[in-house]
Amino acid sequence: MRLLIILLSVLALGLGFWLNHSFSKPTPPPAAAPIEGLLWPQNRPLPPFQLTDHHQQPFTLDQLKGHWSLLFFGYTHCPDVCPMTLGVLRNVKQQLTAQGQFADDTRYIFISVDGERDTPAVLNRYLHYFDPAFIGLTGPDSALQPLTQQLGIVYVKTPTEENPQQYLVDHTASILLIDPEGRMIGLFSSPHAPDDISKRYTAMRHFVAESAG
Amino acid sequence: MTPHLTPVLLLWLLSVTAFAVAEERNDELHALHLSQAWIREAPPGMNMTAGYFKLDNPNPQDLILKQVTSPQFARIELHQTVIEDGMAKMRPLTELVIPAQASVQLIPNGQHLMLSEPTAPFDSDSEIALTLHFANGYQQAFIAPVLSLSELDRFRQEE
Repeated sequence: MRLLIILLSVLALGLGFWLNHSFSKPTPPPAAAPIEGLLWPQNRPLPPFQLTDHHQQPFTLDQLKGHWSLLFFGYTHCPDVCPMTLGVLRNVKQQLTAQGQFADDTRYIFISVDGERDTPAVLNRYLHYFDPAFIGLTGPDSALQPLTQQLGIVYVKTPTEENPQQYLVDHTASILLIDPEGRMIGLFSSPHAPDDISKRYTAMRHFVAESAG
Repeated sequence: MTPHLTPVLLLWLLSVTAFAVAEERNDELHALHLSQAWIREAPPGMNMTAGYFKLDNPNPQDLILKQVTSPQFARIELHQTVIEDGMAKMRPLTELVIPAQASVQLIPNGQHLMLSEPTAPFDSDSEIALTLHFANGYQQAFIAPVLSLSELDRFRQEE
């Protein structure tokens, strides 16, 4: 009996492979996206959203449009990954400024996945430390979720055993590139290095400019 | 050897072994070589930060780091950042093994110390006194500087 089950499983597996092989069409070569992380032409439009910025002003999809934005989701009580990533974005800004290209129309936006603790005032003080021009956005989960779901951002609270108030948040650590039309067109996966991001971001901007022109 | 003697002999052997280990632990343990120790300056208003260092174990046996303490922080935990499917997850470590004649480095985005509940404000002018506590009772103290963003930039450029 056992042998029969094993035999049937092997047969089913073989059949599966055969079906998969015979029905799957040869995949076309990916459209020109020579730069790692560039989502071209498969960009992802952002849905309408309303969050609050670090000056306690409403911030919506309309405010995102008209600029290139590097977006990072995190939280201020994050001891390792978030300060490191904001430090990297600070260096990217310095490098773009030094190369004199794409510095003026690029914005850096930190979106909190911890609306409970990250009030606009907390974000203001926190981000000012990294760069006074960095923008912070926060809001309740209900306001955040349309955005995170569309962008594939995941975050999960992990309370510590001794003190539930001292929870940490596991979260997607990628940096996202949003174009002036409000579409995600690039993704920089962790771990982040300033030189690599500056180089790829600059290449993406050139690529998009050439494609449009 | 008569069977009834065996337990006695075994006890004797065990006590000798225990003595030898104790002696090795206390007298023959070489201090670990500590380098690249630094604490990240916390942004204003934040009461937690991360610390990093490299530990070289010159001894012929593995050493198990169980705890790190400082009079300047009420809570210090060993953590590991893991990136899984693009998601940064922080996991507490119950111990950190420093293999014999090898080294372990705590780095951003990797294994690190999480320091929280500072007993007094600290900034990039501060130095943090830390003590490593190993499973065998061995302790080693060291001082780590707190580095600001611009100090970190300088290190990055020197690399």
